[in-house]
Amino acid sequence: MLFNSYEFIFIFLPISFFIYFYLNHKKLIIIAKIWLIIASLFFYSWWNIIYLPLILISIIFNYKITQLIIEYNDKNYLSKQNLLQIGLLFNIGLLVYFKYMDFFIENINTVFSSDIGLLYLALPLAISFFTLQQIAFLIDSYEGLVKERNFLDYMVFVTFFPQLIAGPIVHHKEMMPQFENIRNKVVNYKNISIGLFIFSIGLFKKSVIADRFAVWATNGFDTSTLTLNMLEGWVTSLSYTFQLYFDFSGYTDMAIGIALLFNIRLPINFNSPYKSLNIQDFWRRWHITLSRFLKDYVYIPFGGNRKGKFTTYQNLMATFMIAGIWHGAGWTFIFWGFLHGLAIAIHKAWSQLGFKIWSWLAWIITFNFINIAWVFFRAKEWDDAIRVLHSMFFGQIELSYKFLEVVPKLDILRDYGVTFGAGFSNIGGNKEIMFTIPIIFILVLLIKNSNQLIDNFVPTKTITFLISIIFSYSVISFLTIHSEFLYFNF
Amino acid sequence: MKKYKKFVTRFILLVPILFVVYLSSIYFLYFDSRNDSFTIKIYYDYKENYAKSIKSQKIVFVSGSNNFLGIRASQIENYFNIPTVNLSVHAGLRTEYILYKSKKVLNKGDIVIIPFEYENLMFNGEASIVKNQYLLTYDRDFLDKQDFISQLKILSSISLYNFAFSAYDSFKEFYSDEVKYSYIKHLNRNGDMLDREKHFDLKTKKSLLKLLSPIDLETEGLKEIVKFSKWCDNHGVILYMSYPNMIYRDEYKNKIEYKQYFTFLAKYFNDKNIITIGTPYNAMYPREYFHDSEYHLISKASDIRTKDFINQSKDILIKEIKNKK
Repeated sequence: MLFNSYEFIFIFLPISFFIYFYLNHKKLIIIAKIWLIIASLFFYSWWNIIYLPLILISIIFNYKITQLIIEYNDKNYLSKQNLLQIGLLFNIGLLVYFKYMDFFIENINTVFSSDIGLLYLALPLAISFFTLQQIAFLIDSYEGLVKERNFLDYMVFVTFFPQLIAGPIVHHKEMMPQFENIRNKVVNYKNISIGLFIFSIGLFKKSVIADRFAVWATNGFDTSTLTLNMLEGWVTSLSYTFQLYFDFSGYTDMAIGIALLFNIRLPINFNSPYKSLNIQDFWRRWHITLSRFLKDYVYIPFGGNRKGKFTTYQNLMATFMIAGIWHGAGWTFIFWGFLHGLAIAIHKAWSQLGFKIWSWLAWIITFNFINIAWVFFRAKEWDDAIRVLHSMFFGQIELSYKFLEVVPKLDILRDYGVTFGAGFSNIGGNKEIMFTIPIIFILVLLIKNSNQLIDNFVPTKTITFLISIIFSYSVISFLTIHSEFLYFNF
Repeated sequence: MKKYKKFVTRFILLVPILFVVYLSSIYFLYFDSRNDSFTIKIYYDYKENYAKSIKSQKIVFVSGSNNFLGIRASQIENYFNIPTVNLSVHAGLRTEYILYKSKKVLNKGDIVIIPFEYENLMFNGEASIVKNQYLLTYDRDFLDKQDFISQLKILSSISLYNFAFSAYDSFKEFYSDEVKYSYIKHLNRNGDMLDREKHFDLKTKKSLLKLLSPIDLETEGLKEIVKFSKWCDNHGVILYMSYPNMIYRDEYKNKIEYKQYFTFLAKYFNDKNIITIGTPYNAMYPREYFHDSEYHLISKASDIRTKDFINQSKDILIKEIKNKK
């Protein structure tokens, strides 16, 4: 079930909400918890019930292993470390089997000219997210940081539907105390107000902004027969850069908003990432909960920066390449991770040398690097990435012939290699693109982000009216355009 | 806490009110004052009038503007000596609606020829703003027959921007008979578009056709054609598919995906027992033959296209016309 669907907004969410608080009101705390689990599993199964057993097996196995780790004593046949290894092997194995098997087979076939048949497994929804969350829990249990002994609580922790499908990736220690807090069992109008407010903003980001850019990005990237001119190349890449941000941060805002209805505060996941002045700053602002996971459970266990400069750079590269492949089974994703690892390493070296540059130049370099790297992240094939990048840097400069009609003197530009023709019309409407992209730059760079809006939220009449308009217009918008969230594919 | 309770209450009350106000405003107040709807309306009225005036067997060409400016119904009429109507108007009206409109003028024994644009063959349910604006402005009957969700989708496709223009324009006087005549004067009796002599180099500089993935997808557009084919069988109407006139590009002959797509279309129609006239390549012409888009032929090229079409179709059509006479 999508957050931006009628069945979710007008049926599933109100029913889940009212029954949950009704049961809590009647002091049926355990039944309320069971209700939340059932609702979450129903939400998950709505796409395809076939993967319900998989998530249940994963939950049961991880719970059992952590219990063995928590209850460990010297009489056990397996050591505590062995138990952790089994748990990690199971989780990573599950991910490898469902997500990467065909990728491995394809590469084996290419390298050894073999003809091993592909498995064509459909990617189980949310597997990347619930697996990471459980790996974190397993390691935290091993290190004695958490001790969960209640299976129902563990189920709630993994399946809580606002964050189940695409995060934020949460830690047990930040979630379960909130579920246990008795004050969170009663309806809280302040949280509901903020929840509705931030949910509406997220819905607007997704339905009105991201889905608009999605059309242009798809036209540019997925039409291999299309020869893009230089402006179309840039419009294509920028469209995806904005689509991804508004899609994923919109989803996160909605998740945060829905969780708040249940008096649960999810961690923030975005903090104006495109305002970043360097790549390290970007990773502190983009998909914050994934960055946190990678730092705590990959980079630091690899040794972090404790074993000298060279190993630090090596660890950074490895961490980002893992980040790349976590997003998808393909060389374009690995290369995207490699680019980011390299950029972080260069930035680290640069900072250590003490060089400084103007902020505006730092922003231009950082934003353009991010934008160019997204081309590899988005392209389905290498050829598509190269085609878009080639057009961005070596494409024909072609303006819309309508410019010439309005200002005939522009004809002089032909002497400088500019031609007149379709403009951006292979990607989308010329006027629409010319207005939208600058407006979105302003929104992204100058306007307060969702977290700041939450902090400054005051339920005035004006805000109520504005947010009701934003919500209504977003709901009306997704009647005609109906799309899934990008991170559902990762 | 009281102020938050008020916020939630107001929000819950305001949202349905805004919904109803916005959608009903569009339903009752919106009309398309700045786009294609008016020309679509006068062209359809004109063409339907001629079609309805014919009491004998006739040939009707049904498609979008590729055929409006493409095959000349008047020349087909002269060659085969059978009344012929060019009922094609605008591809943006999409497969289902274009075919729905044609049903109003087709009678038993008529021959209907459909050289749909590829966009209509690949149409897969996407909203068409051209169609929705036209329905809201001129065809409320069709709109009211749609199910509730489809109606909501049509209403919601009108942007605030378009709605604002509509409200602004409602104070103005539009579309006098003079304006109507300024459009109709370019049409002959059969509904062919005349007087398109000039080739615009820049406007015909277009990219290659965008294909769907997978190439062999049975789209909503194709399903509508199959449904229409059954309707024709039930009503004694003879259906032929053909291909749209379009700018020739080497890639259409050399690139595997285009060859696959054109082969798929031919096979698809064949499997559904729908006879096709010509091939996609038969309908492709050099860029200088085109007026202001990849589909719109200049008038001289329309003559060439029509001659070519007659050569491709005469054996089939003469037999069919004789059978009926």
